[in-house]
Amino acid sequence: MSKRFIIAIGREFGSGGKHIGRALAKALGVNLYDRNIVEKVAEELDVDSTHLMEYAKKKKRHFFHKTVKGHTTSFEDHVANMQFDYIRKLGNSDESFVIVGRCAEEILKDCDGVISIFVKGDREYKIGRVMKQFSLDRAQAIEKMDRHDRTRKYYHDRYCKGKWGEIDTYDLCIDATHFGTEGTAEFIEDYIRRRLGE
Amino acid sequence: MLAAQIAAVVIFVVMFVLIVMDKIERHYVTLGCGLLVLVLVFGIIMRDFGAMWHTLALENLTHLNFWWADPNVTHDATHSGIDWATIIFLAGMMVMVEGMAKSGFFRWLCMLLAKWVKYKVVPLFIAFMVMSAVLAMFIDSITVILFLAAITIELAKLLKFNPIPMILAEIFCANLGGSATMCGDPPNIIIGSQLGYSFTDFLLNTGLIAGLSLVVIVMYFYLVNRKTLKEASKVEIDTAGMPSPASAIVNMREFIISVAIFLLAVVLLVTHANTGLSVAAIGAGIAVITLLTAGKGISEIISKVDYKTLLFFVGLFIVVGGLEQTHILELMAQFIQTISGGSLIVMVIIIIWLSAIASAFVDNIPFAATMVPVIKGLAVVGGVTDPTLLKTLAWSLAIGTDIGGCATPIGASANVVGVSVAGRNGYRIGWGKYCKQAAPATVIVLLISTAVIILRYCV
Repeated sequence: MSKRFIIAIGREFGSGGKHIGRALAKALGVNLYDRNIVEKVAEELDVDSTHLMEYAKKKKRHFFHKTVKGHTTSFEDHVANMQFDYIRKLGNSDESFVIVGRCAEEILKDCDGVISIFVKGDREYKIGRVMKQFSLDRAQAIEKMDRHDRTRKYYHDRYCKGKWGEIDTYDLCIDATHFGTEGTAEFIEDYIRRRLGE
Repeated sequence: MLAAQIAAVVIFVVMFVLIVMDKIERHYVTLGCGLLVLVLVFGIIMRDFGAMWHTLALENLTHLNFWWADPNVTHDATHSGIDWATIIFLAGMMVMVEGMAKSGFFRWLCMLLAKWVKYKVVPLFIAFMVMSAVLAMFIDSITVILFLAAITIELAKLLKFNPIPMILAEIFCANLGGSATMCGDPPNIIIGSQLGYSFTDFLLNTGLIAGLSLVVIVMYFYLVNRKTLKEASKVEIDTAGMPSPASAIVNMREFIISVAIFLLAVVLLVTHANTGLSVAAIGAGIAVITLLTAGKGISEIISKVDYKTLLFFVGLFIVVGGLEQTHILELMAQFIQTISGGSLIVMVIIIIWLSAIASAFVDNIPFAATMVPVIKGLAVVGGVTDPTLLKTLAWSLAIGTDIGGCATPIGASANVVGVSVAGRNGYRIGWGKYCKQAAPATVIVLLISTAVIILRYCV
């Protein structure tokens, strides 16, 4: 594509958002950024990435932390901010890319060519996918799904003004139940191409 | 009076809880609670506008002895309400420190020291601990740690060692150094300015304890980290590529001026008992000189002054003033008097350890501000204040609040800043890692302090 673009994808757990992001990156011939951002940050800082990964989406325990003049004892906040700084750096470059999660739609909102998308799914559709993907029974899948969605919402809403999963936060909200992962990726690709005037 | 007392206590407790919860910026918390004290406690319940005016203490600013007091005449310096001297002094020091930071002074000093010890890890570890303590005697510990921790991490990457033990030791020493002087830590400024003590008074009392403790603490941190330090010392490093101290100086003119202003501040503070200049006058004077010599950088310096902390103090003093005017703090003093059975040794132990335990978990500034009127009450014998007793309790309070905060990562501002600088660079310092080294060190210093205070003043 001739124009620079950034596709920022938010998603419900089990909706296939990450796979859709991967399919889009492949179809559009650009890089996909998700958890690998933590590895890149660790590489830049010359520290162990597994250590950062552990705190990348951990819930901050307020009672045990304190903030003084913008300095916080919360390592969870530091890891989040390191990722946001890296995302900003990507946003300020000329690179077109697809990014999944990490509050990217808010962090990059002032960059040119940002298209924000939220992928949701019917509850039964998501339960089925989670059971299959992680070899879990129904109860375990529901527990895992709800836990991850709670964490994602907490993480997103903690750092962003826009609310996680609400239509006002994104350019396009789509239910992946009807077209499946591949079909939804194709639908979004078509939307992106139209948005970019191709 | 009972309704006013209940309201004052409730507002105070709510303020403390909100500060601990850390969800609302603390200056909003204290200002909001301070406003409630003025309107609800003094205005609606007590209908005592005299108490309101007394707590606002604006009249103090117009008194000559607020700025200068004849050193040959004894003055009753104890007062209550908003401690404008503390606020003006802090503002002045903030302006001075901004000027110093802008010129590259702190970075230059750290790099110079690293070069002097030939970038060897063990001497660097000890030198940075001592430098942290010495700088924190005159400059707020947040600024000291902000620069020291950042440079420690930079050097750790170049010299291939783990910076966490060194940062923990620097944080501890900054708090320890801060306890040595009147301007080193906010509780000391509050204690000194409200009870009329000088820089020298602190230096000869808490300073002596801090100096003695520093020797023990340097050995403690070295012994605790000796294995890590020895391993780091084995790594062969080419020091030729190290950044030179001179490269840290942003602007030579600003650098020379800021060093001169800093030295002037030190001289004025050390001699203020002889010159009669109050800490408020020194703070205001230093701020004016810094701003007059800043040239075009004046707006940058003013914009960086931490007005939120100053507003935090204003609100805090009003809330504590509410407790004072409703005589709650007198009741607290009577309670301590009762449980100590009138024994000075027991009183000293209670004040040091109670202040230390409280300061390890909650902000030591509101704690110290609350406790100053309490110790004033405790020092009243037969209706007259016993100055020797008051000093003994003041040093106990200063050491307890200053050192207690060392024990946990949230106990003092320097701890938060040090942990934060490490975290931003990918080095996590959690509660376990922090307390494992700092909590025993805190207990050691508190034991030394208790022993010194009891042997020196109570036996």
